[in-house]
Parts: sequence; structure tokens; C-alpha cells
Amino acid sequence: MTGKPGRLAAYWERQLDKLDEQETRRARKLPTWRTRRRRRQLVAVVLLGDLVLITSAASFKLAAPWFSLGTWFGGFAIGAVGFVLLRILTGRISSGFSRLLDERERDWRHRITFIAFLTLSFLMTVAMFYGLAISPQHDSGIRGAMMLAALLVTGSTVSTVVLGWSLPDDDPEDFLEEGNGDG
Amino acid sequence: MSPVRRGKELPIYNRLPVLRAERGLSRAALAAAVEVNPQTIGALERGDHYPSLDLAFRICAVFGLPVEAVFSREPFAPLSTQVYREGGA
Repeated sequence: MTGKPGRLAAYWERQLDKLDEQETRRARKLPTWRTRRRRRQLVAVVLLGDLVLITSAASFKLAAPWFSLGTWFGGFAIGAVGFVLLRILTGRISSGFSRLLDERERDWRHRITFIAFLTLSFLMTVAMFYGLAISPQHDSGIRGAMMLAALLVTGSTVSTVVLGWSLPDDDPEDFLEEGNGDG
Repeated sequence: MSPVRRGKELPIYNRLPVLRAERGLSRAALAAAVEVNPQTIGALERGDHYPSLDLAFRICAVFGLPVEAVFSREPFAPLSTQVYREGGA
């Protein structure tokens, strides 16, 4: 009984160390893409993916089902590629555990998650009203589910999108190992 | 007053770049010493982030200086000017 929390705590510490190493490795990926301009381009890609998702869910009745499902998954794929790249470029603020963040990173995390929470709440309300509006129709189940999924995916990308848009350019001096004095 | 507004009206200045240069410390080395990300040291130096009391004390411990020697509400005069004036007075 006394050894169990100790083993669990040690296991959790090892997992955190592994995640920290993973984040450190990830921080060195795509070095030439680590600019605000490039991140904003990826934000546009993610938003385009979200827009395609929502449009295909909304136009399900107008087009053939295979076309709507195809564009829905196409939008998902576009958004997913942009989202994964953006997560790499925004680093541990968007993907790391809170315990691995320092105070500035935690400030950023709190700010963006609050914005994302409010946006997601709004989008879920929209999904609810959309579901209510189409409920008399025979295909309301699949249409409501597609719209709910599209808005859920959109809402869950908001924190990374806001972060990617607002983070400043990396300062090369932050990554210099050598000091500039005589020491 | 919100922290953002207070930051604009009551900024906190610091001497981190000068102190680092004197000791030949990179941002990464100082960051490792106080257990933060190097970008956080950069943000402190640019005035994009104000440190918590805990971080301020940890930074001061690295330089062996009191808090008022590293952080101030007023802009710092250049160290050379201060040393010359005090030494010459």
C-alpha cells in the first residue's frame, strides 16, 4: 500500500521526462518554418480545412452524399495537416503538459484555452440550434452529426490557431549556447 | 487594473542583458540556471513578460544581487555611468 503511490509517482515522473525530451526534439524540427509569417500561413490552411468541413456539412442536402462525405473528409485532411504542423511550430505551449511549462508559457496557455473554451461553447450552441432546425427532416441524424463533428473539430483547433497567429517570431539569441561576454 | 493595462502604465525594467553580458551568460545558460525556457528570458529582456516574485528571486540568486539591483519601476541608468558617478563622487 505504501509502495504503490511511490511507484506510480515514479512512473509518472518518467513519462513526464519522456514527454519533455520529445518536446525538446520537436522544438528543433522545421527550423526555417519558425516564423510568425509561416505560422500565419498554416493558420490559414487550418481555417480553410475548418471552412470546408462546415460547408460540406451544411450542404449535405444539396449534393450527393458521397460528394459531401468526400469533401468533409478532404477538409478534415487539409485541416489535420495544417494543425499537426502548427502544433510542431507552436511547441510545448500548445501540446505539452502544464507541469512542463514555465510561468510565461502557462500564461499563454491560460489565455488561449480560455478563448478556445468560449469559442467552442459558442460553436456547440450553434450545433444545437442547427440540430433543432433540421430535426423535422428525415436525414436530420446524419446532417446534425456531420455539423456537430465539423464544429467540434473547428472548436478544438481554436487554441492552436490563436497561438500560431499571435506568437512573436523566435529570437535567434534565445537559442545561442555561448554567452557574449568573456565569462 | 488588469495586468495588461498595469504593464503599460507601470512597466518593470530590468538589467538582465547587462548582467548576462558581464558574466558571459547566454540566455540559454541563464534559463537553465533558473529552470525556464530560454524564450522566457528573451521575453523578460524585451519587456514582453514580467516575472513572478519566485522567478525574480531565482534570477537575483544567480547574479548574487538584491531584487532592486536587477528589477526596477524606473528605467536604469547605464551601469558605467552609475559606477563612474559613485566612484568619482
